[in-house]
Amino acid sequence: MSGVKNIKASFNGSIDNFNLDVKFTMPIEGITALFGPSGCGKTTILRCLAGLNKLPGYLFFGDEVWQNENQFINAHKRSIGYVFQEANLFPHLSVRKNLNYGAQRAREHHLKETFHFNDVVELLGIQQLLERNTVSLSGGERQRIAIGRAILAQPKFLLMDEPLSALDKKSKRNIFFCFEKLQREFKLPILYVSHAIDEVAKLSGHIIALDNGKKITEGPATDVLAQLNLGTSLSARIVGHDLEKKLTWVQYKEQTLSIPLQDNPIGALLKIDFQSY
Amino acid sequence: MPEYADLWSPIRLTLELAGITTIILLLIGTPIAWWLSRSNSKWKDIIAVIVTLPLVLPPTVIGFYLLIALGPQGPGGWIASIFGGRSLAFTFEGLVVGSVIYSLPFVVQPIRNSFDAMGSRPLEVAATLGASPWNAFWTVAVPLARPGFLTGTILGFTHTIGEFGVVLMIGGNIMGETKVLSIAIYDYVETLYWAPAHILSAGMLLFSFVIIFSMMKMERYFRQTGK
Repeated sequence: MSGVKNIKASFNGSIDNFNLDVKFTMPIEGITALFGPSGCGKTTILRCLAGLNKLPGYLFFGDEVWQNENQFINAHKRSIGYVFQEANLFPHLSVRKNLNYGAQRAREHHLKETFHFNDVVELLGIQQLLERNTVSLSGGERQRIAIGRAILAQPKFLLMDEPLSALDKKSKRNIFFCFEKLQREFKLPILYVSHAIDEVAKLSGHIIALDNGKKITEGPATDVLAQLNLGTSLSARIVGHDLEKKLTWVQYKEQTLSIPLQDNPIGALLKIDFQSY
Repeated sequence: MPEYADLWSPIRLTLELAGITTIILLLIGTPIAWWLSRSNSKWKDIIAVIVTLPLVLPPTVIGFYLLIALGPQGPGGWIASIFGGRSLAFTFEGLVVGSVIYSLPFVVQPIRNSFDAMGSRPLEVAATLGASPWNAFWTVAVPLARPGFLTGTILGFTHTIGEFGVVLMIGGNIMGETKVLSIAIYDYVETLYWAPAHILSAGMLLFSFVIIFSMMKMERYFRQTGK
């Protein structure tokens, strides 16, 4: 990839009576979140990016054309990794063979080996599981192996479709920790799909927010989180700004809250929205 | 008075017929099952019905149409004439053709069920890991559908062994060529040779019992290990 470090995409069409009409540009770096309520088209977009679904539109990955009117690169030829909501490990293969499934094909196609088996296994903390059968694993273990399997296929970009939604709190924390390390050590760009605002706020640098098959907004995480209309709301008075930390302090009854920096002056009433998750 | 050594000929012939038929059925049944499981074609239901037909049709009806098709005037006769034969009717090759049609649903259905149960997800996972559709079929779909292949193979084999009506219509009763087990038993009973009929029938009974029993055991094993 020379220079251009963006994904430019536009999809417009319907699948199973669901209409999608989006157009977005996102950086191929850091963690980008695709955020929105269930059924808003997040997964469909991910599947279109991966080449698992085909909707009219275009998709440029850096300077590679993955889709336009004339061509469509098939899923297995796109340098992406995909982690599904469920781990979907291959039950007929051991953990090690699951991990090697993508790695082996990457070698056959002479992809550069950026992510090495031992590093990935160590990062995800799955050394002691390698010779196990996949049936006896816990949900968290399965998902970590699925992530490892996707990374070892040597993708340039990792797509994750609510990979934490089926997990308990402890496994979630474990995997969060892995994401941070993935970023720090591997510099692997991730597109992360979620309807949970806490995951999105914690992880991402760039957010694309969707509703009902349409893009509401996109941009740096702090801006987007501030813009989003997220359900229950209350009115609070602005009591101060912290320009350095980009925060605004608001007061609601006896409580003081800090929220992303607002334009309004001190003393103004502000509608604050809360999203339940 | 029949020689007991003669009993071996129909047994060998039957096993040969069932073996060859099963191999052919796996070769043509697998793509049919795959297509029925994956396709969105409007022809899908029609093809599914045609594949299932031999399950409900009286074997004599299948046999009758096959007799016409395989005879000198039918397409089977035409094909046979290319290879210098006159007709496929009353030959071992004719029996193979008949058995393939007769046992088709017993092989296609279990394999298709396995493909259906698997869904498209494992293949999507394989695709995102860089496997081409052909490669994913062999490394993911086939291993995951193993229980269906096992059931299909056993059902196809045993059902062909038990074939009677179709063979009678298109094969007749030629020793060493078309005289299979079921025909031999029928023949012995007709001519009141009860002892060989007993031996062959009891053998079939035992064989069928063992097959179905081991199939159940294997299915349970697959379910438990999740393989």
